[in-house]
Amino acid sequence: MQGNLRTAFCSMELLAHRLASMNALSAAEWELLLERRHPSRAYSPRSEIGGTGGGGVRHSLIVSGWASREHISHNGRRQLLSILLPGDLIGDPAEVHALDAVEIVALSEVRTIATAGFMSVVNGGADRYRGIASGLSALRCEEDTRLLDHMVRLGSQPAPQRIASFVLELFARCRVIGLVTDSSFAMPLTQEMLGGALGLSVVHVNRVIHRLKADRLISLHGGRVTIEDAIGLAGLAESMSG
Amino acid sequence: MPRYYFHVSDGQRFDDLQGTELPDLACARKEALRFASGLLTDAKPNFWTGEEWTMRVTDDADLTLFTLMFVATNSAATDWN
Repeated sequence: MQGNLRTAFCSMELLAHRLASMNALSAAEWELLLERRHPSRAYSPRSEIGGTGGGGVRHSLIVSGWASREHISHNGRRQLLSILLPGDLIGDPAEVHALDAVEIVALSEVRTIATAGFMSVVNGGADRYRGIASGLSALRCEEDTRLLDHMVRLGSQPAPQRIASFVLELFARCRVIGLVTDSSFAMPLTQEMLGGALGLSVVHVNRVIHRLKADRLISLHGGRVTIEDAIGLAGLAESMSG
Repeated sequence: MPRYYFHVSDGQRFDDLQGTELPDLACARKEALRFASGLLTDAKPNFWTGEEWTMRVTDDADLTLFTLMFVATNSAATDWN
């Protein structure tokens, strides 16, 4: 399903702050990132944002909403390979990535802005925009690391640990982009999506979440997750027993 | 869509009060096997002491639709271990 074309203008402020958290940016770099607002594109939940089905990768930045890189098996089962949050980039004009071939689907209403023009300015002015270039490289490295962590999670962790470590990872990422308030954040993932991300049946996800709530590690209200006991949850995520 | 309830007894009892909406009984059976395999993968040691592992799947009216049962039976040879 194609995303609709409602236009609103958005800035790259979130990306600027993520890049600045990795290394110092010059005045020229801040100016490039914040000088203007860009027309955005909105996608409704379940619509495809980019990847193999969309006629090539659309280089873009997610400015709001959640999306996922998904593999859909021949039997229709969805494997969510990674979750994309505001401030995450899609596609890299500088080099081809295996991930570019994976479909990207909006999990909630998502808004993106095109980054091809911005990327070509950065790549064309290597010295002037060295801080941005190195920050972009660090962001790619961060996503690679998350994918490796996810492989370990799927390959060797029991269900409670998988869910605990996944929730903690999302919590940490949301905190970096300012989406955490009082230890809680909006998580627009259904239990079916969690199962698809973590290789678990829906009822198994349901049972583990029931246990996490009963053990007062997390609470769920109106689509928001609250980390009630961060130390306990981290302890569970790192333990090896179910 | 009908709602199915997956009640598990594996040393501790888990009464599924919320249930899961699935298209039909065939999907509920498939989901039950997937759920059971996930739980058995993480089974606690008491599974190997002969404690029965049961999953009872019911409909909205608490009618039992099917039951999965697993029990480990150790042979005398394992007494040496």
